[in-house]
Amino acid sequence: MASPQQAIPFRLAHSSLQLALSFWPEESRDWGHALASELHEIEKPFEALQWALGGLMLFSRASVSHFWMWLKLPAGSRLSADSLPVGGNGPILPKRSRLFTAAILVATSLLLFLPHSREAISTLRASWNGYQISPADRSTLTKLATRAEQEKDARALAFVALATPEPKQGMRLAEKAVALDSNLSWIYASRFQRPDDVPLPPEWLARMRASDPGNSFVDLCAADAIAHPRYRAMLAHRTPSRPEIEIALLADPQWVADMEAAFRAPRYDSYLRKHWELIAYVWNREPSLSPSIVGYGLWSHRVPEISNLRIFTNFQIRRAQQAQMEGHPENAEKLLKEIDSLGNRMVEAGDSAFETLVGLDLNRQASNEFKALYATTGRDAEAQKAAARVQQLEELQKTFHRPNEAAYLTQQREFRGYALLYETTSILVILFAFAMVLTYLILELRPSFSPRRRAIWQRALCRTADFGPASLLFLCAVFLLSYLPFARLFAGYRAQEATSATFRGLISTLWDLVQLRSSLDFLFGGALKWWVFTIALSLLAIFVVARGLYRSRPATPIAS
Amino acid sequence: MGIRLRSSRQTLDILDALLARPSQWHHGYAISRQTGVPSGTLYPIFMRLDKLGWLETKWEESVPQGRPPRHLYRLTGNGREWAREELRSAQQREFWKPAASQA
Repeated sequence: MASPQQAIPFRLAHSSLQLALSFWPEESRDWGHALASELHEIEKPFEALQWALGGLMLFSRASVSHFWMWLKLPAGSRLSADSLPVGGNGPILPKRSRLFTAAILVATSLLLFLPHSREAISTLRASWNGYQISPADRSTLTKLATRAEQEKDARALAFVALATPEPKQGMRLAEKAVALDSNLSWIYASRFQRPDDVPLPPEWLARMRASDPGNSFVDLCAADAIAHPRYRAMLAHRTPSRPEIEIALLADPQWVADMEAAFRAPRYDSYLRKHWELIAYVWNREPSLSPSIVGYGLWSHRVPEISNLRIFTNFQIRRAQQAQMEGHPENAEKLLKEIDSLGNRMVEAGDSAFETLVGLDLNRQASNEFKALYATTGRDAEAQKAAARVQQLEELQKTFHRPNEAAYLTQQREFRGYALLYETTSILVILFAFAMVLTYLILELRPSFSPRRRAIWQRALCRTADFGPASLLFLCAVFLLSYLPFARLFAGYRAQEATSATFRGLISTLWDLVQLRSSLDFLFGGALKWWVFTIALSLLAIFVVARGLYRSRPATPIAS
Repeated sequence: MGIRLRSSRQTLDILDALLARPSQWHHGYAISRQTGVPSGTLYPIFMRLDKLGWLETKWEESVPQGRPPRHLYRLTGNGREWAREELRSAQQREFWKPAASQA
């Protein structure tokens, strides 16, 4: 018959205590052995299990107590006597305890978990990524679209339709959004013509014309829809020259008709303001929306195709010159006035700097032709007026000013300063965090430096361990503070309090962040950062292996 | 910060058991059976008494084959004085009664 000690409960009690003993902290292991040794005196299986359970409780208390004591010591020191500093030959240790370091790091982590900090980190990641839509952003957009479809929220659907990088999804959602709210038909025109996008379907153009008659921008979009497939077809063989494109487009009566309609239309609205308002509406509802999605949406707004405008303006000028030569100066003047009027509308109603500049250029070209026309028809006063206007427009194009430009530029300078601080501190935070991890790994693994090197290296490591955590906390606080102006700007934008200048400010602020990151590409360039990361990890692995080998080699025999 | 020992009923039971035969060495399991204090409570009390210098410990010297040496315990001179005072005070406050009187 098997002895009671062979019963499963006894064996379980015994093995669990033996397992605990193998991990038991050294300073109280004797007590663990004392408890375990009593197990042989117990005869009842249930009592043995109870005894072992008490032992495991004792083990957990001892482990917690050990950990607490370990925390109260500086990094690199151990609870055993051999690690304590002994005279001048003992190991050099940091002055601050692990507990102090842990407390500072916990405070740093808490600081980084604040909503503003998370937004700051998200903005940083987005800016370093060039506001490209990441897989996480795609998933956010998909969720947003699903919810908007369930809630029948036409504006949110329209937002995703414009922000998604997937052309098919964008078209599908745009259809749904307009089906829910026909006032949103402008979104058909607002999606930037990306290389993988399909051209505007004719039924979309018809709907846009019906919902917004007399808008030059819609006619320009219609002309773009004709021109784009032609460009692509030409590009499939070789890069076409400008005259070749010009001939191809001017030979298309529909393209000419659309451009004529655009030049004659009484209004110009590229829907940029509506797009801003749409983004602000969704961003206000979803404050955690990644700045990548916002930035991508802002930058992907369609603007008129400049080559179409150039080709048709030149065509109009040639027609005006022809009319003048044929003795019809009134027809020439009418054609030139169409150019000038479109320029005026773009300057007055365009919300982007691009539109203003294009508008000014149309004005300048028209005025130049007016000058020649009036001079040859004997209208000297008007010719002089036109010449003065040309000069004025040329000056304006050179120094491109808008209303409140001085205030805008001051704000931009200020934000550029914050952006510099924000980016610099973020890089320092990463470097400090990396240095801290490395320092603590080295200190805890305790390499065997030669005495001379040990002093230099260990002093440096101890200094980093002593001052690193507080510096990291300070840098994180500066990082957060430097982000606050951006947070306020974004909050103002979300609250739809922003003016045109603030919208421009937002765009150029986001752009400034990218510019600063780009100038640091030599440090964080795609491939290079992985090289640095891989090399750092390899060095660490080599260090750990070499240290293990060094420690396990047999001691040198003492010469007798 | 020094080590403190809270005179709980279980601590007083253990002290009472150790004082019953003060010069004799005791085993942990025997004390546990005598007092009904489980191992997870008994050993932390032993550890504190030991750190305060009120408990003497030693490993069993002659051990029968097939089992490990056991740990033995008894109160030191100071420990006995302190233990008697604690038990008397607890009895006066009617906080604790000796096992014999409870029976």
